[in-house]
Amino acid sequence: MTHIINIGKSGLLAAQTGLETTGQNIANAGTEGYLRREVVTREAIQSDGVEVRDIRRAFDELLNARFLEASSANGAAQAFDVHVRELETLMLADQNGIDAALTDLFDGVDALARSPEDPGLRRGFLQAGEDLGMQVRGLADAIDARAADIEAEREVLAEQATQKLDALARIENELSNATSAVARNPLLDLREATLAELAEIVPIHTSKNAAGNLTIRLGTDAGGTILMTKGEAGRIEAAPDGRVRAFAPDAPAAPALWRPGGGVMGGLADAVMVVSDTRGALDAWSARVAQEMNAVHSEGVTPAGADGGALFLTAGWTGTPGPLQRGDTTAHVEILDEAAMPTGPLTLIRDDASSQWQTFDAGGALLGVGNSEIVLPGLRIALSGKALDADRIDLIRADVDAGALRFALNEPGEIAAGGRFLVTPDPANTSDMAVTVSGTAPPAAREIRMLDATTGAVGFFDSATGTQIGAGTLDAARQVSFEGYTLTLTGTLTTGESFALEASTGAPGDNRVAVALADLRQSSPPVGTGGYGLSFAEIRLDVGASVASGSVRLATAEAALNASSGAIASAGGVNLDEEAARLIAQQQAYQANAQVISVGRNIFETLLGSL
Amino acid sequence: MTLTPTSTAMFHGLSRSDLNTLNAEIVELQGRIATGKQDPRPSTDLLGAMRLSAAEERDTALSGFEENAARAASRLDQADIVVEEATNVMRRARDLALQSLSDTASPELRERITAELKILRDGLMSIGNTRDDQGRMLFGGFQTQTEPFADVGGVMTFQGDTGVPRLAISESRSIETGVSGQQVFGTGTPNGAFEALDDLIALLEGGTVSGLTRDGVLDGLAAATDSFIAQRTHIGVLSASAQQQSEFLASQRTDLAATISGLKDLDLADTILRLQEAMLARDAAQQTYAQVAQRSLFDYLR
Repeated sequence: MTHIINIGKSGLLAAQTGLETTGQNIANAGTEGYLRREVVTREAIQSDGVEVRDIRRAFDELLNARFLEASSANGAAQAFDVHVRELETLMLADQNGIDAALTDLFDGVDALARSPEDPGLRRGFLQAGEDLGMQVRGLADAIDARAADIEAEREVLAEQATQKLDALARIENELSNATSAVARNPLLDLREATLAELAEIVPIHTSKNAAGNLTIRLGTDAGGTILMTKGEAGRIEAAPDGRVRAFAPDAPAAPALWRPGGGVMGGLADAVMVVSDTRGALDAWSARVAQEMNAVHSEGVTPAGADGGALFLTAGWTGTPGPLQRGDTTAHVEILDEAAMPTGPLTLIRDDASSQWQTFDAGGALLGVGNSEIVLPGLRIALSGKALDADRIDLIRADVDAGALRFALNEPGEIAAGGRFLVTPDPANTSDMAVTVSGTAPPAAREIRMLDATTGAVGFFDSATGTQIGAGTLDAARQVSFEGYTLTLTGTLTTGESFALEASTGAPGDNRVAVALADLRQSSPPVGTGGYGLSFAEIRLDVGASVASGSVRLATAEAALNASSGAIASAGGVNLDEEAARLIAQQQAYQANAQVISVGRNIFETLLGSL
Repeated sequence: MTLTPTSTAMFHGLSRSDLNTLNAEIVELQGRIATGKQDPRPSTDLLGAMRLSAAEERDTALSGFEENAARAASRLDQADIVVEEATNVMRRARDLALQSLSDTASPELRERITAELKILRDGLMSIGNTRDDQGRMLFGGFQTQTEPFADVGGVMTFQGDTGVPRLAISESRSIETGVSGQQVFGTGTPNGAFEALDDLIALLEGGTVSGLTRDGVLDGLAAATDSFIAQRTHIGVLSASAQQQSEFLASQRTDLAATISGLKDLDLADTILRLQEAMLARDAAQQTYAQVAQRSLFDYLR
């Protein structure tokens, strides 16, 4: 009769384990990464009754692998989205003053064209030019700061990924020591959760051997660098251009660089590209503004009769401390004359014996020395901070740097609003033929006469003496060059008509170059110059397009992640209704088994009583 | 996504994130209504952002052209008035010439007329040296700071240059904002206004200057008057053209302002409807969530 009691007891114990497991499931209903435990029972083999074979985690290898991939993709999309959105905000018209500064500059040029002699308007133009330079520099700096932020974030992430690898290695070691399912299950939950965190940072590939030991590789396929195996962890470092350097646990050689395609690191790598493309576009834009406006201005003369100089300068120097610098000296370079300055790169080396910084060019020639200031041709280098012997600073010259864009004119008198030539049609001319001139001014007054309209022959005469000093023939563009200047004839070519040509000495009311500068406000289709507002807006739009594609990517990644974690939750999550039902069933089983024992006892007692 | 049964934590989590999404949309729409402007970020509407940038750049350009046209018209109108005055001076001089050069004119009359002619000559010089409303010489060409006409040893000399300032009034068109003083007054040519007056005065004072005849002098005066009239016609054409362009630019800018406003300003009715829709969705989500989450099988365990 003990037999039935033993059967009842085994059922009672199994139901108790079931109740405990359900209780555990209910208690962990809200625990992140917890997988439902299920009691697996079987008929007892050596005796009758039931026995608990396993307490199984509701884990699905395939679903989990898919979840890790979705985590990587989502991490990438999130990180990319955050940074390109910040970049987009920087580019908005109310965040940087470039749109307003451009409008002010061209309004200033327009006003100058209307009254070129007005000193107040001249000052206004200088102010607007300086302001544009300042706004462009400000935006360039803000973009650089963004890039630096991303770099810092990547360093932190690489550190975090390495820590996770260490944690995973520790979990693997503990798992090899744990033997019971009860001890192993929480470690497996922790391993799965840590893997998910790692996959969010960099894409990983996992594999298990027959004994269930985990190997983690970088990337989504089995060919990547091993990051963790046999309970030994490697590490990850951030490398330039959005790439990472992964060290295998036993790697003796320097590892190859790898560009992550997913994970937060991958998203940041994509963001790095967008940020550096935007910075490059801003550099190119600044260069175009400077080059085109300078070209027009150089065709002009100032009120004093001098040739127009450059309006904008784009060259800049960046100082980088050498890898072994111990002091904290920083170098600030002021450009005095762009044409005269050295091509670079320059190297500054601290020499304690003479208490001075020595400046060398790329060929190693000593260019100059100084303690807090070094003056080189066209440059002044200001040094501040603590200097220690043999400290080194490298100075790199960039000819086009939006971060260095500045307005070159300081005095209203330097603005060359007027043209270099004065062309006067002869009073006897009757046709609409006209001449425009570019180039250097002629040495003396000249007369241009259309010798033959059919052949395009043009004659040049000295106005003072009337002697012919040259002749030429118009080319297909109706141009002819003479004494360093180029004439373009427009209108109806008429034989015998002539024009007086003289150098302009800077008449105060001459607005021709101001008008030509004002033309640059809008792009002129055949030439393609000007239209800076719109081409700046195009840079902004490119960033906007990145943001738009990034948010589509994010929405897709989020949906995929939700689907994948939904699948895991549905296969292995805790559903309270389900657990309640199980609780009822197990409670009933418990009661029934208790009843079996009770019946057994009754029979036993009846038997005893009958004796 | 139909995955049943889902875990309880997952159900709560999804409901929470749905509610967050709805709340974020409500906050965003509310913010738009408060500013009255469309979202300025190009990523929300790439095409619209491009159109807006193009329209705004064009608007600043048109505004420049408009001001240029107004300035040109104003300067040309001033030139018109001044040249009309010059025409009147020449008519009066011709009247005086006819009176004084008649056989019956007494020496006293000739003397008085000569005095008046000298005053007229000074008047014509000051007409030539008129400034515009910005204080710039109207007839000096590019020499806008120095008086273009000066009496150098009794000979009227033009000190300006032949430059004609122009201003752009459209992408492809520019207009003269004045006329050359040398051309208007014919300085240095036989038919010049000052030359004609000087000849008349010389004839009245001495009468012995070689080659001067009564008819020649009268013809000179007539030619100078005709030249002024021709110049006025020229100025009138230019001014009308500037005026016309001004009106055209103004109407273009009105159209452009409507385009810009359409791209920039918020469609209030649409946004309010969307806000109401989002709020309704949020309320419904909250209520169904509360209903569904309220009960589980545990409520029935006794």
